[in-house]
Amino acid sequence: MALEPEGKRKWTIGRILAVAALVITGLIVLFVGYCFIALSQLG
Amino acid sequence: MLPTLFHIGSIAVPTHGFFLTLGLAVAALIVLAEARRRRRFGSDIVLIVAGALFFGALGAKLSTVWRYWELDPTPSFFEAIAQGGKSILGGLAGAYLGVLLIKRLIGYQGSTGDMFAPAVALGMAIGRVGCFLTEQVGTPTSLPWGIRVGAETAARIPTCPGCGPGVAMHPSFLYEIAFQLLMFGVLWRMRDRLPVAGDLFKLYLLTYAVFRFFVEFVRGNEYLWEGLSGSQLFLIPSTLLLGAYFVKQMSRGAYRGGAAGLTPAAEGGR
Repeated sequence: MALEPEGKRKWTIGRILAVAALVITGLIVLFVGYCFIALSQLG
Repeated sequence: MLPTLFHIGSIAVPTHGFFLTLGLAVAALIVLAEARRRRRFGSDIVLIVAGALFFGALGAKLSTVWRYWELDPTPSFFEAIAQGGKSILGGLAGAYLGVLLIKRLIGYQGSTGDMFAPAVALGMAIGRVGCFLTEQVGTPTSLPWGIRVGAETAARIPTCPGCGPGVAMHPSFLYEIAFQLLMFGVLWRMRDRLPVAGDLFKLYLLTYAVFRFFVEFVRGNEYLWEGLSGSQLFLIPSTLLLGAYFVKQMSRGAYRGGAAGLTPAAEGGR
């Protein structure tokens, strides 16, 4: 089976989930302090 | 000076967070656009950018946890992450290591630094607008472009001796914004001209490290040792390592023959 060229590998469910998990948890880590402030304003 | 940029309903949108998010988004879009221009856009690059974001965020937060520990010696890990600050140097180091890790995990062997270099410079310029509007301005100065703040803002700058209402201070973040915009222009023009793939980002890191070392003297950050801030103590070994890399490259003759001009095909595998 021919290997796919580097950088052109197909999107798979695993890759999509990995991107989503990295981006979402990254933003949470970065902005968790602001989330507390926003929640306290709502409360 | 301006902790809240605007309101959405009853929610105050923090100035710092807004410009940080905007800077990250612009940087990510530029990396992806660069990947497309170099015909390397695909799931690999998107994963690498996502990894840079995650590990950059982790590095930015973890590198300042010690500040929170000073205030509360027994914080929970969650409290320290939530209440601690963020450091761009920790973010850059985390993102750099994160890219290396993700590339290793997915078996990507191409160089990606050249795609990141101009993007990071522009993202930093945007993000620093948030710092300028919300953080300690700089040390006192008699230069004509010094910035003065009101009594209320000065009261929020406890770590800057001599800073007070009406005292002119170095606009240290404006210096950095100007530097980053200049670097963006230079790196954008140089992006296809360096003979060794990946050197553009290392060149940016070295230039920023030197600039940041000197701008720290007018930032007014807390001294940790011998009149040097924590950032400067981190920058000394980082600068030496990057400098040693370029000296080694030059001694190996990597730049002999001048700028060869990289084609997208010439970059793979290095």
